[in-house]
Amino acid sequence: MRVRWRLSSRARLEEDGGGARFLLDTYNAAMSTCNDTAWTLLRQLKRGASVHGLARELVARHDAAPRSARSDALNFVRRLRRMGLVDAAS
Amino acid sequence: MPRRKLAVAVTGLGGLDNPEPGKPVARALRQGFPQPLDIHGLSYDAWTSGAWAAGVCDAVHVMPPLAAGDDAAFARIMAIHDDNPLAAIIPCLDLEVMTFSRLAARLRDGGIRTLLPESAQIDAVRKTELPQLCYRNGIVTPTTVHVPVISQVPFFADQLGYPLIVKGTVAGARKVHNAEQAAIEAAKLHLRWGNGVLLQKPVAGDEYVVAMVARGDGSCLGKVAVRKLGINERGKGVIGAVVNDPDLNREAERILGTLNWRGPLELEFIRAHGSARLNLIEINCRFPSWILLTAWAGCNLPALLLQEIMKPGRPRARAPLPGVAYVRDVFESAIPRTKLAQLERQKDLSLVGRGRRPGRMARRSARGAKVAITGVSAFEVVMPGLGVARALRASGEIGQVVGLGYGPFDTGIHRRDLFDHLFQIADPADHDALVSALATARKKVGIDAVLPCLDFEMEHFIAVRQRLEDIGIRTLLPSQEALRITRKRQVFNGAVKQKDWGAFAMPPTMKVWTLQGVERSARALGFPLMIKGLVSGAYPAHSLEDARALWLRLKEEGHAESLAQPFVYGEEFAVAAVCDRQHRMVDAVAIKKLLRCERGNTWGAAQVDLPDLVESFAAFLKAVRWTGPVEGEFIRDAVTEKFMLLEINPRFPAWVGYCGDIGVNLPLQAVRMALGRPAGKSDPRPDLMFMRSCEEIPAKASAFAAFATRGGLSHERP
Repeated sequence: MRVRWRLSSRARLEEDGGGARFLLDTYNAAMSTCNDTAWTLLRQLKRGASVHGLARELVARHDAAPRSARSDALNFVRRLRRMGLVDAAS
Repeated sequence: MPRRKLAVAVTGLGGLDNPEPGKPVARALRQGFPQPLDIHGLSYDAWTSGAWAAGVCDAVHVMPPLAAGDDAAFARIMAIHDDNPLAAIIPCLDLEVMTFSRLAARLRDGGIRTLLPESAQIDAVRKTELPQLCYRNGIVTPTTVHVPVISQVPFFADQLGYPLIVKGTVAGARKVHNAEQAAIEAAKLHLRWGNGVLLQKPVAGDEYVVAMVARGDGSCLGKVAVRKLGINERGKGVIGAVVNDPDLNREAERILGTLNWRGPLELEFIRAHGSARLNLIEINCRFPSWILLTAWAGCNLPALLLQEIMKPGRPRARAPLPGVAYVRDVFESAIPRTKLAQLERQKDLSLVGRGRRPGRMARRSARGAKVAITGVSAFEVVMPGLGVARALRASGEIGQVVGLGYGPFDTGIHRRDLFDHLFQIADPADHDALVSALATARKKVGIDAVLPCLDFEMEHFIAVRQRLEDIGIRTLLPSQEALRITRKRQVFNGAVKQKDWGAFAMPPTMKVWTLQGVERSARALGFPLMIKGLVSGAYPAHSLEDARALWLRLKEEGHAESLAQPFVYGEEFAVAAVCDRQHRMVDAVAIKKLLRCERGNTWGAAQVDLPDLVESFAAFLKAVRWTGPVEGEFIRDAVTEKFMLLEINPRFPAWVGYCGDIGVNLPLQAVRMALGRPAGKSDPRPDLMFMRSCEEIPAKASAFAAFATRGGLSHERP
């Protein structure tokens, strides 16, 4: 079974009128600015997504090669897990 | 029918660059209390800068010093109360809380309410008692030793090891790296606050602070936790954001539960890197100076406190919104001399109707020039670019003001009232990058002239001056040679042969490279001796031991070489000026420095008429072939009445915004001349005094992000 990951309630996605996007950790006010790819993945994670689903999104939206897309998505989720910003949803 | 105003007194409106919480408390009350307020500032002298900031206080009253005793304080408050019936008092300084707590019952009988802890509770959270409190209640805290006898500080400091934090028993703290520094800092803190000092092992980590209000029964009425995101080199949190960390919230409430507290409280924590453990480092028995952030985060603690005072038993406040941030910048005002004199003489002053705050993007000429300015931060020190922008904005002659900053922690990037656009520039020593950054900014928003405002930038802007002219950006700068010979290292050591300029003279000076050099200069010049860094920092030494420690301190701060000069006792003055390309002084403002912050910078001043000094300074500038903005700093020897030159700064001073207030707008003159236009005629208003106070401004997290990632941001309204 594929694990679905969901953005933790401590994480908040913010966007300003000028196009700046960032991820705010409400536990410690740490801000991470996001590029388009990260933003795509974070939006997916807000709804809940598997690594497979994230990789598919990267391929579809950002023309990523399937193999590297999976590895990028996996690394992204691992990094967010280390930061405590994603939870396993199922 | 308009609602009746509630009169409330607030203290702690001073503090300069180490701001007291009274001003933000008053501003928070204005923003969040559901009834119109008459805010009465209680101060200990007329120069309490926060009370003068527009829109803060409706009246100011000078109190007797706390040392005069409880009866004197009570009598004065009741006298104020007779004329202006006060509903409540919110004391905002550590030392006052004890006094007002003792007076609480008498004040209540007189009709004035407070919400303060009992004396025993205040005693229990004193800095000297904190280790015991933590031990009794299982609270983690760094190793801390109270050393009441100052001569024993080096012994205990050596036992604890270095680095070490030396703390005053009431306020103040400094990190030290050896026994000599520990002894010097301890002596200073002991002199100021008494009862020795505390030595505390530092914990490297993230700093968190929690402000709370406890109801009369000790329960928590409201709580806001903040992480300090930007801490300056003096350890002050200049930038912070609200957090919602369940561990921190739990620990703060657990600690509050042990204190049997009433009223405002601040807990300070450090969470060590790589650890979840929170170390309690301090408890303050009053609101912190970042308290206005609680209003922006939707949990206005000062307003809640006043509501609880007026009608106890309010329900618990809602949680604050995490991510809401503040930046501490400055607010400058021009105060009528007569008002200040009135407060000094009569001890009471109504400020109703005094000054309005400048509106967002106030006064802008549609066809005016677009001017870029560097030095737009108050993070470490107040940089001159903020004052230059204020003066240009006040002129109404400038089209747009563009700030050039070095990073997202430059506080000026959040000043929507001053800057239309902001761009990030890199190290100006990279000349290609500097020109490229300015070319990009010009392409995006159009820049007609640039005024560099920081000492270290000058040689680089001079070096690229022609390249800037080639892309249409005009400057008004001195030559490299004029800049070189006016530097501290050269100007006092023979680069300018003439030592006496009529109204002022150069002090005898020796270069100091080594500890032996310190001894040589001490033998030659005697004590007290000034040890000065070549870029910044000047400290008086009263003994050889002092001189050695101060020289080492400057060396640690990066000054390989220092200067030694005889200490001159006297009042300090400054002349800000602007010279044209023929090296003629076109306009100047002389001030007497009346309020100086801990770092020695001017926070209060008055314009003075010193034609001889200005004329002599003009002759000096002509001789060194100066062009552009400049400041000369002087001290008037109290015995000989002769002015001694302290320093030449190759740019406008940070107080230059005042020049716009008094009708001698030097930055505007500089822009006009940079653009090849004739300088205008000034219309001086000598009746205004300069006053600056810290001021918190709301910061958008997106502004930090935009500045850091896109290299700029715009405050311009579409």
